[in-house]
Amino acid sequence: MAISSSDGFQTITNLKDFDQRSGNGLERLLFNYRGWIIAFCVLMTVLFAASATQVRMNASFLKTIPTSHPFILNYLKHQDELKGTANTLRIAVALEGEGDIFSAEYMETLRQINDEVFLLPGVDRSFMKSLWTPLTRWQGVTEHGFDGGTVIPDGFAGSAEDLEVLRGNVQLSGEIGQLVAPDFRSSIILVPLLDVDPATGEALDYKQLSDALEDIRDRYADQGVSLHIIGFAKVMGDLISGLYAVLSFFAAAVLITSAILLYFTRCWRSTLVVQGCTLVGVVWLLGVLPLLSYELNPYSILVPFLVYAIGVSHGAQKMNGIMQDIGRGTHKLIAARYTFRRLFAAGMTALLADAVGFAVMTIVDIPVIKELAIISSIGVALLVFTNLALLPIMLSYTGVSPRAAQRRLDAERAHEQPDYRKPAVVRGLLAFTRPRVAISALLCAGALAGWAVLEARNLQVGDLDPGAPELRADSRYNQDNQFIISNYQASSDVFVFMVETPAGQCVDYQTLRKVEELEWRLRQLPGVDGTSSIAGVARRVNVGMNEGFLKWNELPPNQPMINAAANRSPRDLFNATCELLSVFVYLQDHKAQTLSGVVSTVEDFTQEFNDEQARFIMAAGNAGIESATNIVVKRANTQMVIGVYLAVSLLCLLAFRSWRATICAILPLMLTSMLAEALMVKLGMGLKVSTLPVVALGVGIGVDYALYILSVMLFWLKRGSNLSEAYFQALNFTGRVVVFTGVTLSLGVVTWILSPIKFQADMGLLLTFMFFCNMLVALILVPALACFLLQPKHFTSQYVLRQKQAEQTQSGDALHPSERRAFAVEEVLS
Amino acid sequence: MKNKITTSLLPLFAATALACLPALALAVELPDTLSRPAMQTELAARSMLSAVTRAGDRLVAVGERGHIILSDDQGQSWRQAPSPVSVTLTAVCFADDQRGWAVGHRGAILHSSDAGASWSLQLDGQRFAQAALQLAREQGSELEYTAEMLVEDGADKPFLDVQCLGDRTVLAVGAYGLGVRSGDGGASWQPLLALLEGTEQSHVNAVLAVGDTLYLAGEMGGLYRSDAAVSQVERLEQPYEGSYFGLLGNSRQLLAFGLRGHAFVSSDAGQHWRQLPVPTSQSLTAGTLLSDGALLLADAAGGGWLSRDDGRSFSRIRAARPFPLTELLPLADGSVLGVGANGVTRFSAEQLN
Repeated sequence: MAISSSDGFQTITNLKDFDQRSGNGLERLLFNYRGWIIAFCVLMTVLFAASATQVRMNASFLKTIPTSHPFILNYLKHQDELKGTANTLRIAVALEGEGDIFSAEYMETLRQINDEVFLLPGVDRSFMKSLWTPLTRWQGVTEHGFDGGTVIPDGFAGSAEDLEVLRGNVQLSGEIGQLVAPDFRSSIILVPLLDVDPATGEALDYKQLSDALEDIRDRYADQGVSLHIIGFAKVMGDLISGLYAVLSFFAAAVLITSAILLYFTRCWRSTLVVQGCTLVGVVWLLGVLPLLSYELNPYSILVPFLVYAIGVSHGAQKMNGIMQDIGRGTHKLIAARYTFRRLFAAGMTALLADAVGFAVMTIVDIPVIKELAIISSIGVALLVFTNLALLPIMLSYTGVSPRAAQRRLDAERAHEQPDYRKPAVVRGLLAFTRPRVAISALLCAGALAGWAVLEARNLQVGDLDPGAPELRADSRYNQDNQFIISNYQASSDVFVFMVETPAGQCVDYQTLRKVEELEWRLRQLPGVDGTSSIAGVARRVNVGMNEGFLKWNELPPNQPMINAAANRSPRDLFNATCELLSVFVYLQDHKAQTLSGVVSTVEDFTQEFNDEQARFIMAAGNAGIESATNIVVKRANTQMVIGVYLAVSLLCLLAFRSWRATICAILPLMLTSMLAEALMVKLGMGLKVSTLPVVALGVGIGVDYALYILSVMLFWLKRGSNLSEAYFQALNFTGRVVVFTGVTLSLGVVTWILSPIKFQADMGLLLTFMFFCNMLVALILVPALACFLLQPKHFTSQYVLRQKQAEQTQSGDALHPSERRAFAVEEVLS
Repeated sequence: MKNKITTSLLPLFAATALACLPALALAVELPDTLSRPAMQTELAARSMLSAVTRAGDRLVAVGERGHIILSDDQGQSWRQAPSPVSVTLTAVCFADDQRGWAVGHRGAILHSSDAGASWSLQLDGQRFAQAALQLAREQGSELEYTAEMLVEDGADKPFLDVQCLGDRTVLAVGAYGLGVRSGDGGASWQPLLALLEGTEQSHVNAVLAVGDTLYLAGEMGGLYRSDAAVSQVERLEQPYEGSYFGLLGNSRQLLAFGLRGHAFVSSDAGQHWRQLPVPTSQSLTAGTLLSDGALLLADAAGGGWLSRDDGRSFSRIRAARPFPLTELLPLADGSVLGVGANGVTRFSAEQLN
């Protein structure tokens, strides 16, 4: 029995009545050999799952910086010689109770902690420093010259006498503010780390180190001391721990979307199939990563979430048509083939739009973002297979629950009943096609846009929070950082510039004059706390060699004096061959304004004074790297926004072949982008590596909504419907999908807001906003704009032609929304 | 000690200088610190200051990078005066409320005739060395070789103290026993060869005039006395082998203080000295006699030591902002202004009573 359906697909109950040779080659290949395809997929899934267990979680610092920016090239060139910027941990051991550190108990606890830390893997033991290490010495000027010794007196046994000697030695050690807090309530263990273990050749395992430190912290918590640990390695360790926490968010996202999907379909079977196929796609993606030697970092871990959310929303679209077919009585295999036939091209277009958003990000010269772009493109490509091909094949075996199918069919048919009353939401949205409502909506949107533009002018580039911006302000790490900064002469924001000189001439008087000059210019800037360089050391040594008489505070205008000073200088200020100086600039914060002030001051100086004797170059230190990142991010943001809007506009023009429709699709997206920037200002977020991709992702994925709605509207407008009818049809066919997509995408990333990693929380919040707000503006502003741009009169010239075509395809009443796009695309291509 | 370093590293310096030669044509150099005016900066009053004095009601302080700052409200607020050099200035004196001299590194001597509002360079180390050589040759002095070395070294040695002696006479002393005197308000300067000889070229850190007698103090136990013209320098009894950083005194008593908490008092013009029991091992770097006869010393860690019993006992007092100090100046309101490593600080009048 073959009943012709309204969309041209016959309802065929019996498989025998179906022509196996119908459909295109791809469809025949997939469905006539579906057993083999399933077997292949099972095999692939097993292989990829095995491979996925090899995925490494890492937080690579190098990948978050713009590796081809001149600052970074300079940094990488001299990386080995920049000792002062090396990987060092500071562990402050602070007294909890009364008293000061000159007590037998404190010194004993400190010794135990010192010994434990000494034995940790990766510690550069010969350079470790604390009150207990032989490197910590006191020095004093006497009538006969210098005298000195270790701070801990020989035979220290903790007696009152010993402690008094210790107190005196500490006063003379010059370590107050460095290793010992000026209030004598804490002291620091300075732990330099080796990035590569010289014995085993293995890279330092930040997670393992961080866990070992946490273990020490826990064990000594009840011994009257608290430990405050800061340093790059600890940030990395905390980030990797945070990554594991994010894994649980994935489970939460799956649970939430399952619930939504179940509500949407009312069918366990199809919910499981959609989730299963999408998760297969995610497993394949994770399996591909180790094969291409990618690791999951705090940025790319976003990709599985996005791919999953996109997969589920596409899967849900499949359910719409297949349920109607099955509800009408079509055999499940045939219904699956129909779905494939209907949606493959449309699905491809939608995924293409997503991929465009991702691809534009590759223009950003920051490895994590490039990786994010590449990995998400791969993920979307895999979805083409798992969700556009595997999913219908699976459905051809499982079918859907007949009750759910019947329910869906009833709902669809209800629209055709004469007494059908449109739901309130639909009626509300339809109002936006009326000029008066439309103009108020547009005025509101314009006002919002104006406000957003004003706000967005205050958008800062870079990180705005103090401490380690990767972690939350109230995280243990940032509390520790606050403790150490407020108790010691330490700044967590260090900008390093370097001076290249001919070999052996790094401490030339003229060169040091210039170094001093630039240091002094920098110290005039409001965000600069201080500087340190060999020139400053030469001044101090000059004072020291004259018995500490302060009037000798001058850069000795005499090379032998400077050479003598250089011999007493810490080795982090110049390299072994004396052809590179490092100058440290300590900043109050790492706000973009502070950093750009430093950069432009140094730049002006280099313009004026760089010569063969001394070439001033930037930059190293966390603030130096960040200033390069800021410059790149700022430039990339403009490029990326232009790029993604161009790409999306082009896609819309191709799909709609109407500039009017393209404007209707693009303007609402722009409003969301502007609002997102205003939101960032309001929430105190800066434009940085993590927030940079958000606009591209939001626009790339967000255009889907307008594509869904406008393709159906155009179809009906071209057939002569008025705008209200056209929009009603669009809502009928695509409204559910648009809302469902918006909700799944938002829920896929909203869990990130709970991430212990600050920038992930920022990304989660912004993406949720972008996805959700894009959906709202698409439903409200697209019809409002259409009210002025897309009236039937704009299509009258084409009307007759369109009507003929429409008659040929019969009525489109039950057409699946995505098919409209397929139809529109076919029109374009023909 | 310092001379040894200079000579042993001289070949290295020469080699460095030679290696520089080919590239010199391309080099972009900063102007010499003796010809480069000090940068105007907000930081001047918070940077190292070496000395402070009065010019009438005005306070004038000098310090690193050629900074000269003025205060017309007894140290509440400071403004920077333009200075023609950017060498560290080490001492300042005023002959009256208008005319004063500031001295500093590289043999710089600056003069102001408008209460410190503007300054001009009167002498530098190079001109000083030339003058010393000429004088040594004229006198047929044994110091001719030393003077030749001074010319060869160039302007690299500092003056460390200056004393205004009456109307038109000024005296500056400094490292390696260098000294210079002008009797005509700075129009001409005479190197003090007798000082060079009398100190055996060791640093002179301070000079004090008491009547017609000059007292000088310096490194390695150096205490000296001379006539006002510095024609004869006499080494005094040496109560201590360490260095002195300052001198205080009047016709009744003389006080010298220096390294590691050492301070000595003499009531017989430096013939005999008695050590004061200052309970610190930090060097004493600044001191002043208050109008009521109390003595205040400051140490290198920023601590103040007050004695109200002619130096028999000292009590510790704390400056508003403690840091190593270089000079103390009693103010009209009973407080004492201190200058040093981090600019300006103050010992309050209450603490001093």
